[in-house]
Amino acid sequence: MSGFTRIALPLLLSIICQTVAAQSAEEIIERMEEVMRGESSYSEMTMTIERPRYTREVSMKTWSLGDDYSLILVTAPSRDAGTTYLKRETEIWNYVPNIDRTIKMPPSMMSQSWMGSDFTNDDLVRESSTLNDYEHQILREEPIDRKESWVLELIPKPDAPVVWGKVLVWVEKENYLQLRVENYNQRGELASTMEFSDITRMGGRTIPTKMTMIPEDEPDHRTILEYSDLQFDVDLAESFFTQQNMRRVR
Amino acid sequence: MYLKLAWRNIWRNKRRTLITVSSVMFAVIFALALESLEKGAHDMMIENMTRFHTGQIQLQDPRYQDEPSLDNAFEYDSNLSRRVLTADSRIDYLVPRIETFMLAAGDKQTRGAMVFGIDPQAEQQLNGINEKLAEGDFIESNSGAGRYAVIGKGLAERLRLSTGDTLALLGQGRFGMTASGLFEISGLIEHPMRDLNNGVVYLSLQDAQWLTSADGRVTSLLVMPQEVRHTHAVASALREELPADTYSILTWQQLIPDLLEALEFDRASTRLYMGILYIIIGFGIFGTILTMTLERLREFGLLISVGMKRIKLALVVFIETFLISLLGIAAGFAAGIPILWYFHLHPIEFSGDAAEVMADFGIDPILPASLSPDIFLWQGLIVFCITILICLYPSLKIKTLSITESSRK
Amino acid sequence: MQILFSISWRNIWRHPARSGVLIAAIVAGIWAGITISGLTNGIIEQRFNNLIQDDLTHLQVHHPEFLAERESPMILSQADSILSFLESDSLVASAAPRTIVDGMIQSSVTTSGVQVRGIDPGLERQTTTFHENLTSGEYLNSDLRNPLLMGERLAEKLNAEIGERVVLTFQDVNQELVTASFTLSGLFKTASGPFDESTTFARSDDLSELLAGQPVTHEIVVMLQDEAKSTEMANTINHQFEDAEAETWYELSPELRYITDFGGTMTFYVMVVIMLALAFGILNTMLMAIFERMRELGMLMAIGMSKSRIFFMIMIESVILTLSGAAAGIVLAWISITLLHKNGLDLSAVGGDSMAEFGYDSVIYPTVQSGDYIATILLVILTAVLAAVYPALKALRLNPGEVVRE
Repeated sequence: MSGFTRIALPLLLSIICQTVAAQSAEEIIERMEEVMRGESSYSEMTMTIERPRYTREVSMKTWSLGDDYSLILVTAPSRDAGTTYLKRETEIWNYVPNIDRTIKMPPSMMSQSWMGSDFTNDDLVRESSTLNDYEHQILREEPIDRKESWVLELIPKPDAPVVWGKVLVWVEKENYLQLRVENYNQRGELASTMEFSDITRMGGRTIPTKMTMIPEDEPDHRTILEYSDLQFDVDLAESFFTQQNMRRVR
Repeated sequence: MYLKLAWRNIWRNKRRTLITVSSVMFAVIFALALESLEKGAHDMMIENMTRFHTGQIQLQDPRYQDEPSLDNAFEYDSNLSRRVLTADSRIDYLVPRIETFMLAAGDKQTRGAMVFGIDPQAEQQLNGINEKLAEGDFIESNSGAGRYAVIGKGLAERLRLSTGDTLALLGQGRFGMTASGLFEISGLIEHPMRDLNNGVVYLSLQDAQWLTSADGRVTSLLVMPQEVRHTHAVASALREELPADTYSILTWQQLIPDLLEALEFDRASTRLYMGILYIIIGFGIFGTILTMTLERLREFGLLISVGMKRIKLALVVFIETFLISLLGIAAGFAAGIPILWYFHLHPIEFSGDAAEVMADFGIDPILPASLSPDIFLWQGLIVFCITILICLYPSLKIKTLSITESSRK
Repeated sequence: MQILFSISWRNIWRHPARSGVLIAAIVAGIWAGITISGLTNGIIEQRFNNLIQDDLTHLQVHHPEFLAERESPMILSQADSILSFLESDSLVASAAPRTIVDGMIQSSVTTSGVQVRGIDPGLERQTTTFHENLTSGEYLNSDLRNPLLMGERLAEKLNAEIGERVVLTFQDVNQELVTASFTLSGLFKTASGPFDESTTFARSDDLSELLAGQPVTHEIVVMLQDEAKSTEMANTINHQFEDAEAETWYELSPELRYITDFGGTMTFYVMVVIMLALAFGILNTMLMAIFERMRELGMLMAIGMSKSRIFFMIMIESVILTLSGAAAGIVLAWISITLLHKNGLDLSAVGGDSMAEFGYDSVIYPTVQSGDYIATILLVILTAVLAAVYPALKALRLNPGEVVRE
């Protein structure tokens, strides 16, 4: 599963994709993955970027097909409305209506923040789901938000291109929902936290519809993603994800 | 009384006195010349390098140094410019800039580029940017209806664009706003530094502010003092005038430490040269004084044998040499000032390769002498100290002089 | 003539103190002049080395488009043959290949754009002095997996410590994105903050493997035996190899050329000033010595010695003094230069210690060319003889009685 879908769809899922060796933990993670999986999807969401001096809201519609294709249309604020991002495999294209140009994101821009959020352009394309990236185990069981959960500990394997020292994931037992992810640096210090909340029925599934990303070292920084609509297995073909369609899609 | 005696003694043998005075005089002239040359070169180097990068002093938002983003641009209006300009009378002019990284696109090609929003007049005064124009016209500050850009020639080639074509800029503005706009290329600039030539875009300050949603803001304000040597005084005056939590005042030492590194080596070698020069002029003066002493031993012996107290004689001789040093230093200043003045007005010109490189940068290939007053103070003082030390020699010699030895001469 | 010579000889020994001072002045003059020339050469050379050896080197070879575009597919296809050509050329001191890619680095805290330089640790060490900038940790020949060096500033920004993993992402030669983890093995600090914040060093083997699965070279850096041959060497390479462009350090960094040329010119003028001071010092001492002899000269005239004979006597004396002083001065200068060249002169003694902080070498190794010896000796002898001629001529124009009275 590609990183792009992670943002467009669920950043929610980012951690889930890491597959697991031990029987029970693997099961848990696979079940958790199932919850958000779909061959294709459509969503409407709002991204709120909180900074010490300002807050910015970006609304968008997203379409995705498999791991390789996705398209994001910005609908608000009005200054940016109509801007689209297209991901095809490892390339990102950006269409900007007021200059009427489609630009391929060069590597030099990959480390830049995406739309001013806590995510980089690279987060949109990164393939992070290496099967062998982590060793993992069930650490303990504890309630979170009054829901019984497993706490899984994921330790990256030595070669894995992962910056964390370890990752803790809270998975709720009833619906296999991921509720909380804590990323630790290699000295065991908390680096960032993702919280998943507002569990609702959407697109025929019970899912958390709000994700909050809290970096530890930047106290007043937050990026919040909230779904207002989410549909799975919608009718999409590869031909939808083209540069021509970037200009047309509404 | 001694003074009078010494004074008369000095003029008793004019030629001897003149030679000694001239040895001190030349010492002063050479010390002044070397220091003035070094200081002139030092200042010139700083000035030229700062012109192309950061200016000598920069006003920034305190957060900008750690996070150079448009979020940390600060408001710049006529109030602030007046406040800065009146903070110190030695401030010459101000150069406001917006600086950010963006994508520059032609029809097919896209490249990363440094985008500068500038005040063309101020920038011209700072580094003569107009002269590097290879093609077309430079932007004007109030371009009116159209939006124009001047870009590096290398960038134009990479984007397959030329004057009159449309350049698209895309990036992030202040507070995460999308920044995008189309500009007509009014001119191409040829920059000797490859990275800039291959990736620089100049817009008018107003256009850049519009593009990045940073109305009325700049990322840095360059403050140019009249002389490099005023940098620190002007920076402190600004620090006093402006609140530290709103503005940080950075000098070129903080802005381009690489330059400081190169200069540090020069400074150390200058100190070595100054040391050698002092030894050489010290030796020159000592040679003169020593010869004089040797020749006068007979006279000294005679005076002692007719009953003059050694201490008195030593004192008189010391006063003599003291007066000679003063005369020498005065003469050195008198002769040195016009010489330095001349080289200040008619600087040494570089030739060959050095001149060629400097011309590429738009730098005058000259090396003006510095007329900083502290040169005179310090070099005068140092030569005076050296001379006084040396002048102790004849007096000491008198104390140990044996009459028989001297009269044999 | 014979007689004149012996009179002059005796004159010199009759006034050992005066002669001693004059000889000392000449010795000191020659010694100082030669030592300064040597120091100047050493300073110019060291200054240049400090700026060149760390990173830039005398010349670099790239794919013709590489410096403008910096795309990883723009490799030097003939890298091996260029390297073996350089190895066999006697002008070349050493050469090292580099693999260069622009990408991004990720830590648990942040993501940042970086240049990754893949180097051959052995060859790079022979060619540049970059390893001297290392402030902690190990060089790239460590046992760690995919070792990486970065600037202290970048490490701070990434909140990364030695031994920790960071993730690099860049485009491979097929323009596909590659992501791999590297282990931070050491930190460096140069004078340039932006360099420290944006440059990382890895082993070129590790980087090549990720970029292409085979050795990839984007840049060859070359140090020559003699910098003056840079242009010649660059031309040779450009003629001999296709799809490769060799450029000298001053084409690569005109700014550096400005700094070195400016410094060199400056040093030249400084030397002129010092040499003038030296000449005037000798001139004054000689003048003083000869004017003090006026009385004696008057006496010689009074007892019937001809003016021309007196003139020649003074000249012979001066020449004897000057030559013996010069000989001693040369020997002294040669000894001190040899010693200084062997041990170096540390500028930190005169306040250059802040340079060390930048990994800047403050030790100067003076070298003297024969031209420097000749120029100095000529200058000193000319000065000394001139200083003798003027008062000698002056003495001739005076009438004996007057001189004696004086």
